[in-house]
Amino acid sequence: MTFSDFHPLVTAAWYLSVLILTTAAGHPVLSAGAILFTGLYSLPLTGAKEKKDDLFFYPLLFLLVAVTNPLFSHKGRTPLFFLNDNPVTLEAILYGASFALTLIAVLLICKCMTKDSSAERFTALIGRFLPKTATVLSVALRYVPLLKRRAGEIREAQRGIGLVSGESLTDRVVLTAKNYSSLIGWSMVSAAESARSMRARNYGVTKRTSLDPFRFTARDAGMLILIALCLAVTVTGGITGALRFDFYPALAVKTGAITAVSLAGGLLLAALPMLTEGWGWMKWRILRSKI
Amino acid sequence: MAYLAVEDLTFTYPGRDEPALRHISFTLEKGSFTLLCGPTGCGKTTLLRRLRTEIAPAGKTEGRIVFDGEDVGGKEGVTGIGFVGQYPEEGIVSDVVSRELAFGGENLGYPPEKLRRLVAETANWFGIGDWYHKKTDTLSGGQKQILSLAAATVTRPGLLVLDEPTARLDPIASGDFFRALEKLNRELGVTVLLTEHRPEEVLPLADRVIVLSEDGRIAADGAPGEVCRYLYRSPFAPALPAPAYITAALSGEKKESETALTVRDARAFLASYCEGKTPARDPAPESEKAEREEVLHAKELWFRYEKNLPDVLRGAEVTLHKGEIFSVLGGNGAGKSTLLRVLSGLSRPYRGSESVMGKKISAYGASLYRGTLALLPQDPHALFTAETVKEDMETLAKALGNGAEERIKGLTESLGVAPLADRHPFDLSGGELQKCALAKLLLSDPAILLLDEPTKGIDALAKRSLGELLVSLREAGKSILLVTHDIEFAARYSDRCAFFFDGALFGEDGARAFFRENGTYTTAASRIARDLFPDAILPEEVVQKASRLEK
Repeated sequence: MTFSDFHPLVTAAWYLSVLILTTAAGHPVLSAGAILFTGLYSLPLTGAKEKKDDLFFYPLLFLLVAVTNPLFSHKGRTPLFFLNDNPVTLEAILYGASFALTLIAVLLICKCMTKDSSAERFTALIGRFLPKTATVLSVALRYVPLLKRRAGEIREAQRGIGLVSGESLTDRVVLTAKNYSSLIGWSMVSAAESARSMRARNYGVTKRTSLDPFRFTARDAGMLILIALCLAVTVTGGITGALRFDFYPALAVKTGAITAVSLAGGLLLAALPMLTEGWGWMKWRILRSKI
Repeated sequence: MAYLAVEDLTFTYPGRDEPALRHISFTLEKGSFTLLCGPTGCGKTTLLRRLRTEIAPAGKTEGRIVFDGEDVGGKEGVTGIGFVGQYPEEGIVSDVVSRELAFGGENLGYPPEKLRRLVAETANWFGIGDWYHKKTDTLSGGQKQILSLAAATVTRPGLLVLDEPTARLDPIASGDFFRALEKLNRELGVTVLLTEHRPEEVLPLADRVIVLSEDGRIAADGAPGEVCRYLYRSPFAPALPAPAYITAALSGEKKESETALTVRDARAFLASYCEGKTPARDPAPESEKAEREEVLHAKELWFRYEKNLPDVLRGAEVTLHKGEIFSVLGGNGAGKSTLLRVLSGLSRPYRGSESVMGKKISAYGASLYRGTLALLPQDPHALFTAETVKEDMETLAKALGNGAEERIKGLTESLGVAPLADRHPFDLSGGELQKCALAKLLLSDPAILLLDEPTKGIDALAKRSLGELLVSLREAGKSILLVTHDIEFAARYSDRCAFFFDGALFGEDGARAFFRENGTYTTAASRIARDLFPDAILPEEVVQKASRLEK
């Protein structure tokens, strides 16, 4: 059992709620939780090289955002030191750090969305309601890798006969433009051929239906309710002000029982995919140990 | 009553005086399997596409097309006729296999339950289960064409029309394709009408062959054996598969003798033909090894695309001599194209070394491609970036400098592409495009030509003229290394051959010795005649040796 096996409506609901919650609340605890949980969830989905790159990229991004904010924002009550006669405040640094956390959380969530094929499955679902839109999306998705490959083929072919993107900048620009126009020309010919293939299979003859391989089961309903519950708890907390986390003019953090419950709701929401994977893994372990 | 009846069909493209198709009349019975052939530009594709109004070319149609008792000449949405084109890449419009299969049914508005059943059934019939959830982009060319065939049959058309469906596939993939097609015809009774320029595999399946002449008329129409005998006496004899060529040539005017369409039948024919006769003594085959100057030498090439992907080259050794045509044969996906990329310096091996004209390849830099070496990519479309062939060559010549501009005229004339100078590269036929690509390659006057599948998608006559062109380039001192899966082409024009498998070259030898020693990976003519004439590897050699027998 993996998270992406849920009905696309469920996964879409999760991605949407967690994205909105993380960005709207801007609460560092929620952002950090989202980073931790989606990070763990994405571990088995990412390759070794990508993991290595990520370990470098995300900390760097964090530092960059956290450090640049105080350079531009001089709000806050606690100046730490002065740079070019401008105060660098503790609050601005903390705000930068918190904003960086939110940014990284959003990036990680979006990464998971493309990695676990949720995006694809969702476009397939759209086909149920908007068959034509789904066709356009499917054709577009099919063309992206083709165009990428062909662009590479053209570049190499030109190199192999002596047209090296080379000596001067203008040469290079002209060559790139030529290659690009060739790619467009090639694609036009291809597109005409594809259109023929579509028409030969009666595209546009009547109103389209869609092959719908997704069934909404009790498990999907359960998960959807869980998502709704978590969301409701956290949003209620947010509306009543329990999730206030102000940086300016001075750090003001709301604490208390309601805050704790709201945060727990948000954190549980963020952890749902990871928990699903973990549960599936555990179950597999137990089943296997019985054999 | 005939299933499909084409009655006195004449078709003229807009702005042309001469019709592309003239007074075509034929009928197809339900469950029949018909091969339509003819030279490039004879109107085969026009005729096939005219059968479905949605994809018919623009132009003036006279005559009638009656399908299943209904005049469909101007009618759209005739779901009983399925169509499969020749381009695996463009024929597929969805990103995922399952959605591609569902496409036709979705268009007809089938309810999901019915659609799911049809798709499941079809995927199972074609053995697509394993790659049902894959992205279409990750499929091989052969899988893509099987998918196109499956996608065309999901809505259960009674007549399948196929336009050179295996033109871009290697022999193994095209064999798989024809087996699937045969199964559709034999086990489901689907009526098949197809064009094909490599007829050896289709002829044994077909029960009828229609030949179009160059001016768009029906030149012959009959049983395969009969039509082969007719073709043997026409200028298209070289296009005949070896079994048909050999038996038609040796049976002469005897009407009653059958023309063999398979290697097995041709072997039986040849054995009985030669019975009781003794072969004329052949002179002992001369040694084909001679000391020649090496222009390219690669040692122990190891290559992989990424660190954690498997090796594509595993210690490949390649030597190319001055003034020879060297063919490297092998299946698709074996890594032949990768070998060329590495040999041409476009990719670097992680182990091994290569010298070109006695100099290390790394010492060249960009100058390698200016007068020393040139690579013809598998899809020659990638070479052309301008609106016309002429403009394209001029651009390259200007970039190359070195008096390349003066060479354009001579080159286009000697390669016979001068009349194509003002055409758009994408409007050319496969054979024409390949010649223009070669002309472009030769602008830099390279000593070494590396060609990637030069015969892909071109017909038998265009292959002949390309082969002769390569021979004339060899005579002019060029050294040519080509990778191909076209055994017959390699046998006819190469000096040396080798087999590429598991990342390295095997059996490197003179062409004749190479095909003589191979048991399965050899020409049809060699497989027919190897017991009697082990040295014959081409159909006309078999005919010549057999007719020289003494009583």
